[in-house]
Amino acid sequence: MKTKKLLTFLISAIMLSAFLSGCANEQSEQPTQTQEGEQAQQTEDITPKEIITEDFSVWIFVGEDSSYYADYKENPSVQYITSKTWGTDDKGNDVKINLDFIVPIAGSETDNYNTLLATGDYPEMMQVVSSAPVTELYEEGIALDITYYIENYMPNYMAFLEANPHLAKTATNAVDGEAKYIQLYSYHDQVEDSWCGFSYRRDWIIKYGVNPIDGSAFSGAYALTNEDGSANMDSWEDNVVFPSGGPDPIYISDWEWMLEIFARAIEDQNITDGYCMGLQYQGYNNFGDLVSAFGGGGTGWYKTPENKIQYGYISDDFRVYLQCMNTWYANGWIDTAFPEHASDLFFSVDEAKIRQGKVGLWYGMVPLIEGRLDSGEGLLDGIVVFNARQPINDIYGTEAQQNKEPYMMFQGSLETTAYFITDKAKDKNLEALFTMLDYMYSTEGSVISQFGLNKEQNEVVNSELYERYDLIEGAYYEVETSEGVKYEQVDAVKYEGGSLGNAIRPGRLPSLAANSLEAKMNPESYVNNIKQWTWYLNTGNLAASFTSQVSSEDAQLISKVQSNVMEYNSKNIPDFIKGTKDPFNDSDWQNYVGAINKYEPEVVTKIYQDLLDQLK
Amino acid sequence: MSTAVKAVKKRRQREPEFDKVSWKKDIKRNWVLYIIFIPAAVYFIVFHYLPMFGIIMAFEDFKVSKGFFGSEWVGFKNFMELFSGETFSLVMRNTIAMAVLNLTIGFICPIVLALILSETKVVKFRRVASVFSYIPYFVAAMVVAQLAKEFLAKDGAITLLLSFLGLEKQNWLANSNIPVFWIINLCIDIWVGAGFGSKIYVASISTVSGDLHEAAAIDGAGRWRRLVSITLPGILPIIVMMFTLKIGLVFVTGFDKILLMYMPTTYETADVLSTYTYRMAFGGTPNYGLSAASGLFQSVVGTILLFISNWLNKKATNQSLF
Repeated sequence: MKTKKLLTFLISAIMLSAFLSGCANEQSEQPTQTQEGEQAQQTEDITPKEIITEDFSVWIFVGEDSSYYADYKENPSVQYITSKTWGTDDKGNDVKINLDFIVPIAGSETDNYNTLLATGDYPEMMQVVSSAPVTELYEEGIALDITYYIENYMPNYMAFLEANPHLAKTATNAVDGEAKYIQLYSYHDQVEDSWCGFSYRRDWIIKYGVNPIDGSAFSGAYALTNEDGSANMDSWEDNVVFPSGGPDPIYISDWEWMLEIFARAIEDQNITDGYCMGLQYQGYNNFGDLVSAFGGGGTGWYKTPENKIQYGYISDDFRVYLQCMNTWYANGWIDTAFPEHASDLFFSVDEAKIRQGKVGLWYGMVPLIEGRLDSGEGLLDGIVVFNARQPINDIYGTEAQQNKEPYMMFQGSLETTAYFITDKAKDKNLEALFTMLDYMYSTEGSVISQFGLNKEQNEVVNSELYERYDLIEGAYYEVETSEGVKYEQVDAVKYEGGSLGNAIRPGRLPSLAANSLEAKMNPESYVNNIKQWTWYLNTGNLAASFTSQVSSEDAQLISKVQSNVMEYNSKNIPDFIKGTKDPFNDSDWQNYVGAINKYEPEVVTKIYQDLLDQLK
Repeated sequence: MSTAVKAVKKRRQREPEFDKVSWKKDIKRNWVLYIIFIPAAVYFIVFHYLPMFGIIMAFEDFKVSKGFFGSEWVGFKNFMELFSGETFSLVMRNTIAMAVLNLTIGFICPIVLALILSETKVVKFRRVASVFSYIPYFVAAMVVAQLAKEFLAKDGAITLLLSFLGLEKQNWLANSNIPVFWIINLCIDIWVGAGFGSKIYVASISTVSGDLHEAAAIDGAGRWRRLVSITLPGILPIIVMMFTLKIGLVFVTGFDKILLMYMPTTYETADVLSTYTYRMAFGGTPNYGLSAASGLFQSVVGTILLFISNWLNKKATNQSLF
């Protein structure tokens, strides 16, 4: 009996200790990298003029595909940057920076960010997430004022801002009554090529359409062949002419001509579950795509070329957009099930049907363009997909909504993400950290940021990833162009099919990406297609650096108005498009405007307008 | 009155000091049990009671950067915001409707399945049927929702089946008419939970004395009569316990599934308290105060229902959970 009791006691003790050990902080059991660093530093005290390592942990919103590496620290470019020394400490020792990355589990990024901040267990550097405005974090003493370090240790960053005064205006935040740097922004030196936009079935136009000017039939073929004799799927050439007179659709009238052709194609091919045009679930694209065809602006708050803040949802322009969509829906051109695609990503709405060859015009991505979908069978036999730029309205509404170039759409901007340094780093060697970060804004660092490592740089780190993907000669090569030396990624990166390009670049660190140095060696047809998506520039969008200037109270108010309007619109806009409500009817429209105005969007409009005026 | 209760009463009469054993004495006498209890107690304290401190967020304008103690105290403002939401009444209607369906039809199904399984004489068939019926319980909500989307789509298998019965061919999940979504949700709940839920009843049925069935059979009682007069009363305490437990959680369960299946066009009939709060709280900048207020509201309502159910059960059947 006693043995049994003793055994029970032992088992319980083991269970309890095992349970409690699970709660223990692992860091307390093993020396942390910082402690190791301290130990190393102590060693350096005895033997000065050596290399010491300063550890920084960095929280990033997302890592890279785990098929490349599990820890972002294994990114070849990060390995290269951290292999160099960045200044000296107060004893004259050279300093290396060691970066440890914290990457949240996919789907719980914001939760993780908030938890780290709320528990005080946050790292030294963090990517900014809108759930906790940086101004608020600064007020709470979490985000550091980094003005001194940026001004004294980041000459390349400062030079870029000086060359781009419109970015410099919002690179600081108004805190403590003055403009201070509390965020460090990543930038592109040129608007990068878009990876998504409108695409359409060029082959259907050739097969079912005729030249609108002389009535002749269209024809087309791939102009280039690959080494194995197969057609180069990026080299389609044809004699298609749109009603506006050019080879690409420009106006809404071009689109309508195209949609009529698609309707004929769908009928001829007896596609019972296909449709001419896909539409995002609430009936519009939040970024302003297509909406911007009817007066230029977008949906929510945006900036007009005259520097006025407008609220799109209650504008006449948006009403005309709805009138157009209502007409197209009535014509049978729009997917009748569009409100059901609520869980689809905006760039892949009902992608299964697109990949089955049952849709004429949609919002698509690069992997679907030209001949990439051609399987040689069924509806996909001979499919050729071309890109369309944002159209210009020449039919609906009044002069105010006609012939205006779009200026709001989904498009990468010069500014990308922002980072802040926390108070956990205040006793560390920030001079060395900022010197290293500034390297990413130098010409050499910008090239690494955009293309990865060249052969010599890779030899420093001997990246396993470079070996695995046969990039020993470097991830890019030089090209002599009329504009000087440019760079082109090697085919192994360009055509890998995954995200190898991202995995070799240090894209999760603050940097300036040298987009302008890309040679773009693809066939003319491909280049022209990609160019369609950046034909117009997105100048109306309110950048994150601008919206982050508002106070935390205002940010909360803005978020609330936005949530309420989105909720209301998600139920009511489909009604306007499907005809349950009539966008041509003044009474229906005024009722809608009245319902939206209840949420007082004009208060937010004033907040943004005041801010814009201040920044002039 | 159960035999155990009778025994305790008898012991109390025989040993008046029976209820007066001090903690000290009890720990000394049953120290092994107390040691075994410690890990469980620590677990519950650490993972269930300490996090309850987060309730404080329901009364604060909670800011991540300010934490529990730095955020502004706003009293019942979050609750007012929750209750004054434009569609709150619709949401409550949907929540109650789906809860009632779950507590009636959804609750009965596992019992019926258990009775059917226990009456099945072919052991192999019973085992196979039992396994197949509880497998859906282990399917992730995401997969369940996706299956529902596929089967109920315009060209889905169930839709085609229903169209043979004369119903319109449509995406049933996009139908906002009452009670389409409620029935879909109920059917999915039954499919997922009935098999697993029946296990406890099957186990309970097996404890009903065979002698009673034998005696009743000798007296001429048929299978139906024995089922109604012996099996059901035999498992009544378990039924009462399960019902009481279920009623406490009825407002909370099903959130993930509904969130994955509903869409703006069906908010009017599919939106429940938890999904409504989710959108309000996380539609833009996270509003933790509102989210915590809603969670607390659901817990309080659930607890009240739990007590009411327990009390009603005691009155009606003389059986109760506590």
